[in-house]
Amino acid sequence: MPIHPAPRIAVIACGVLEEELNSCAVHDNNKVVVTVQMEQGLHNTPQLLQEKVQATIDQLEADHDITAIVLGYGLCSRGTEGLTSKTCSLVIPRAHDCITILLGSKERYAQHIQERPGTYWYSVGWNRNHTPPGPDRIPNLRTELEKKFDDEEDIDYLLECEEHSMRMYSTASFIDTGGGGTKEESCYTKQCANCLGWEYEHLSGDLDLLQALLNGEWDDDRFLIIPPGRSFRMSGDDNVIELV
Amino acid sequence: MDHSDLTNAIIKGKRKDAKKLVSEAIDEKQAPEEILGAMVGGMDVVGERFKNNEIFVPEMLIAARAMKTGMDLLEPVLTEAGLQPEHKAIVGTVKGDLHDIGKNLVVMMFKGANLDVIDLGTDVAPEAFVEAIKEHNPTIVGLSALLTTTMPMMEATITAIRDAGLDTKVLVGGAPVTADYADSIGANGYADDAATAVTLVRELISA
Repeated sequence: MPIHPAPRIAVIACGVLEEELNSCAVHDNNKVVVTVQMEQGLHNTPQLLQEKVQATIDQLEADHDITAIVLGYGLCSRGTEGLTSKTCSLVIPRAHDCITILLGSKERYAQHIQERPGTYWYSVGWNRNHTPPGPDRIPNLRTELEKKFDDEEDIDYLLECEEHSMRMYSTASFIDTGGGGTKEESCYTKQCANCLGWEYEHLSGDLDLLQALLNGEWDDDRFLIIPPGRSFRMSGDDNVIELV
Repeated sequence: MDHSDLTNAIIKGKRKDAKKLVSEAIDEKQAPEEILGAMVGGMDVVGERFKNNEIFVPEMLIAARAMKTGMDLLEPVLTEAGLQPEHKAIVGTVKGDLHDIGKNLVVMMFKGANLDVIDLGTDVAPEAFVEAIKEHNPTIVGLSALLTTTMPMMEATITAIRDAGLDTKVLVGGAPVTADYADSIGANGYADDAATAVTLVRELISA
């Protein structure tokens, strides 16, 4: 249920969703007043994610006449927990991370990881923003490590650790959301799977969840609406998050 | 005896230095528990720096490897000195979770703390934990999870352990896990890094 007859929406989203946001923007019913895309990868430093997104929320509230800020994020290593607003509502999908947003539902995500725990996820945004497991991963990582470590044996050891981690997975799953770069990145993901001896899986993405977020169609099953002054945390159950 | 060089070698991940210093200390008949303490102290600092985002996983892995190099030399000496493990710990990553870096660090730190560690690996089902507890009768069980998607499996595992009538103390840890969450699922303890896990185990054992 919309919380306002004609919400004026600001969007804060992870940069990994850039192509998907572009695809959805044309159907957003002109409710979106402003969109801010954050750098991808902040989930690796959850505290920094929290600080940066909170600062963006504060800035948007100060600068724009908006009724809601929607977050193109999930829990993201619990980096979004504790986010709060002063005057408008916050809305966030009930999602662990962007894979729910790309697949379209938390149920589909949960079912997939239960059936195939050895899945490593690929998408256009993921492939563009980090070097996924594949032919370029180890060479790029070696270059990075050479900047920090001077002992060649240490570097070899760290690369072995990385290869050990990769051996835990069995499938490269590319989520196709139909936007720019799909053909190139699905081809690249196939190369990655070949290089690692993994199975390649091509999954159709589903942008209904992201579209509903942008359109102000926030049912309680898929979204949590956080009133001003309140916040949310991980619930540890199928609802993913709960108000605090 | 001052072992600050050894502590620093662990902190900086200088494996060859650690090997040399441990070897010298053993040759000089220094107390093995003090040599061990110097290395564990180094890992305490590494854990603290990791928590403060001053260092990241690669630095921690290199430090852990330096400690393992020292431990390989020290273990026979500890055994000879009669410092046999009195307690067993079973450690594993919960079902659905394939991430084992944190768990491996805990395994190494537990060994350093003179625990007999049984490592069940990754993606361990609740019933596999239960079976292992029945077989080995450990004092401590450590559950690890990196993802919020797999954290609920910690609760399922604790429930399975209790439903089997076992009262083994269960510790939980992993990047997204918090003390509040640990309390809410009935864990006996929570540690936010491998060094703290050792402190916690010592407290639980002496309690």
